[in-house]
This record gives sequence, C-alpha cells and structure tokens, in this order.
Amino acid sequence: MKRTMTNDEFDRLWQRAEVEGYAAKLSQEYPAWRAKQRRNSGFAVVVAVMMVVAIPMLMPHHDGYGKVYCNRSNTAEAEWVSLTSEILMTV
Amino acid sequence: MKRFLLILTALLQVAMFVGCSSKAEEQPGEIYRKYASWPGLAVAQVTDFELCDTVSVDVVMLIADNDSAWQQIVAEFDIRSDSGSTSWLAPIDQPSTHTSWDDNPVLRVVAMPERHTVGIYRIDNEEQYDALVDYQLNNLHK
Repeated sequence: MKRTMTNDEFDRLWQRAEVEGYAAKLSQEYPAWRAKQRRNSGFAVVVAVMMVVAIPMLMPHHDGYGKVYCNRSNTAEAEWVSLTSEILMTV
Repeated sequence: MKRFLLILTALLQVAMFVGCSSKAEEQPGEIYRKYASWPGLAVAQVTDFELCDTVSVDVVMLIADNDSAWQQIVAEFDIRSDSGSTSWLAPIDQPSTHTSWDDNPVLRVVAMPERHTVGIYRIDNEEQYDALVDYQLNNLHK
C-alpha cells in the first residue's frame, strides 16, 4: 500500500535536496508538495509580520495614562500628564 | 494540523489587529471637543489617567493664554476666587453647578485662578470616586 508523505518528511527531503543540489528536480517531480510548502511559508511570514505589528499595540501603557489629545501641536504629553497629577495635589 | 494552526493564528492576529485599530481610532470626549475650539485656550485630554493599578479616569485640562480667555473660563465655571485653588463636584453637563456624590457620573472640577488653569476629572462610578480621594491622600503624604 502506497503511503502518503507527511509535511515533515517532505521538508526533510527538500532540505536534503537543497544541500545535495537536486532541489529543482524535486520541485518538478512534486509540484503540489512544493506549492504547499510555499503556501505554508507564506502563511508563516504573514503571521510573523502581523505579530510584529499587533503585539506592541496590545502592550499596556506603563506611563500612567492612555493617550493625550491636545488642541496645540507644540506641547509635550508628559507636561500635561504631570499637570493632571499636580493639580490634584493642590486641593 | 500545522496548516490549521497557522490559519487559526492568522485569524487571531487579524482579530487582534482590528481590535487594536479600532481602539487607536478613539476620539476625545465631549468636554474636550466643547472647549478645544475656544480662542486663547490650550486644551488637553489625558485618557485613562491611572489613579491606582486598577482604576483610571479621563481628565480634561484647560489653560487660558490670557486674561480675556480666563474671564471666559471664570464665567463658564462660575469661579469666584482669584487665588488658591477650589474644587467641586458638578453634574456632567453643568460644570459650574455644585453637587454632591450620589452614585451618578459627575465631574470633579479643580480651578487654579493664579495659573489660569482648570482640571476636569470625569468620575463614572464609586470606585473612581474613592480612588481619586485615595490618590490625593496618598500623594499628599509623600
């Protein structure tokens, strides 16, 4: 009975083919496997890029505030946050 | 199995990204928008200003550039003192009215006439009210 090659087995075969110089031939003989391998690699790259973008956005602020909106463009966020705290101490 | 995990991870990442994007597009509150266009007034909203590890409030700060702008603030908030600092609780839509805490959302307004500055802290629940008082007490003793 013919056994179907697993992804890992094809990956190992492909790595060996690259080292031993018959990757092009292997790609011709197993075009579907090679296409699948490329799709998986593409997925991995997409996921990696999205993680790089999304994870920093999910990191909580440790500066004691979320965001500062201001109607003046030349002001520093830290000064407003400091004032927010300072003014509470005056009463 | 590997492909399924990749797709699942990708979908999770898309959901996280969409969630983060919508959060990043938050708009400043009504109080900020009301005063941001007033002439001679620097206005800032600090969102999620942390009072302690678990409680935060949104704060709007107003600073008048000149006496004229300050007089507008004085009239708006009915500020009757020229020195020191005064503080009161006010209904959400009536910052000049003095009220007391009754479990409804209120504004804690702090006016500092000598610095032409007003701070407006939005308090939506008792947890925030208590945390604000604790924040003042804890920091006063530092």
